[in-house]
Amino acid sequence: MENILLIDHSLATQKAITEIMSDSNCNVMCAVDATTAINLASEITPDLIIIELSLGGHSGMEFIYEFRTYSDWKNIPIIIYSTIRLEPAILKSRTWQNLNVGEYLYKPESTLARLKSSIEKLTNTLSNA
Amino acid sequence: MKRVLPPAGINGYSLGGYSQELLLLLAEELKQPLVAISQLAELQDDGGLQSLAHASRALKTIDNITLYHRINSGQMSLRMEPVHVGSTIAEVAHSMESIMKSAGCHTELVIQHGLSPVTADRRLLISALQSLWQGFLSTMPEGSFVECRARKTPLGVRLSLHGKNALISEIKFSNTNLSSSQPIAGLAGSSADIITARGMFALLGAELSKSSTKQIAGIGATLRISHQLQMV
Repeated sequence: MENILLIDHSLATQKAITEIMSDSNCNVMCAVDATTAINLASEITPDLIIIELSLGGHSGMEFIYEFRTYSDWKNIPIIIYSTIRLEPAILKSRTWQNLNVGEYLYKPESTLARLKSSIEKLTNTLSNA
Repeated sequence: MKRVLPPAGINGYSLGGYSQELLLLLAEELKQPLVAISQLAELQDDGGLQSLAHASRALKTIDNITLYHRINSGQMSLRMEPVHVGSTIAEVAHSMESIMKSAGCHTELVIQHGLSPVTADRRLLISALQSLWQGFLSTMPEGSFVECRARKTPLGVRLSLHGKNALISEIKFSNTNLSSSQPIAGLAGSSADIITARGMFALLGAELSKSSTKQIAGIGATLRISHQLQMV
């Protein structure tokens, strides 16, 4: 079973992602902020992170920078699923590449089906690795 | 002391720094419930098409207003480049599919063969067309055909939307002021999209105006042809 760590303050998003993944072999753990997420990840190492950039307290970007500083979390795939629109120049930057983000999905333009497909792609990649 | 009003138009209606920041924060806030509506609608057995389309339409309006204000205030800069009109229109039409479907309307693309590229910021042009399309759609009754046209004119490439039943005869665009925040006479209801489109086309150096093709009313703008790729 794959452990997915979802970091999002939106209860609707938590409910929606838990529901779309209910028929797959995944366990969705939810955290509403970065601190809770770090604590959860320390207890159960996630196989995949889904994160909203707009969070209370530390931002999603701060979480990703911090998360990637730990060597055992360096290769855990991350999907950014956010209401914040990132400019193409940021997505092409060297700094961005170094963060090793698997996918960026802009929430207003991404269906849940699209998100599910990305989750499955990244978790299948993990299984086959 | 003599008291005077500030000049009407761009200066009179422009947003101050604080108001602009507030507007952008409000836009971010409004996205949250709209995304939640979209997600919950998608989970419904019938696909929640109407809710999904309404939320999608409102999200596009918010995104486009935000983009306009970011560029207009200098937070973002324009990236003018040669843009192929045909592929851009096709992309916009695709992005409008679910909204058109929920409105019971149909799309027809009429793109003149061999059009030269225009000089534009592609992302802004896409947003301008989306805003225009959404605004135009609100003037159309259910079941109508929206015709999106692109044709060469002596002044450039004319992009326009037409519809037999479009209620736009009363709309009067000001020729002297292209400020997006100026009201447009004769435009009732959800005018934010048309006003945003006017502001965006103004940033692209084009003016929104009414036009008519084969006696079918429409709204459009003429963009300058890019001489950079004319020979390609």
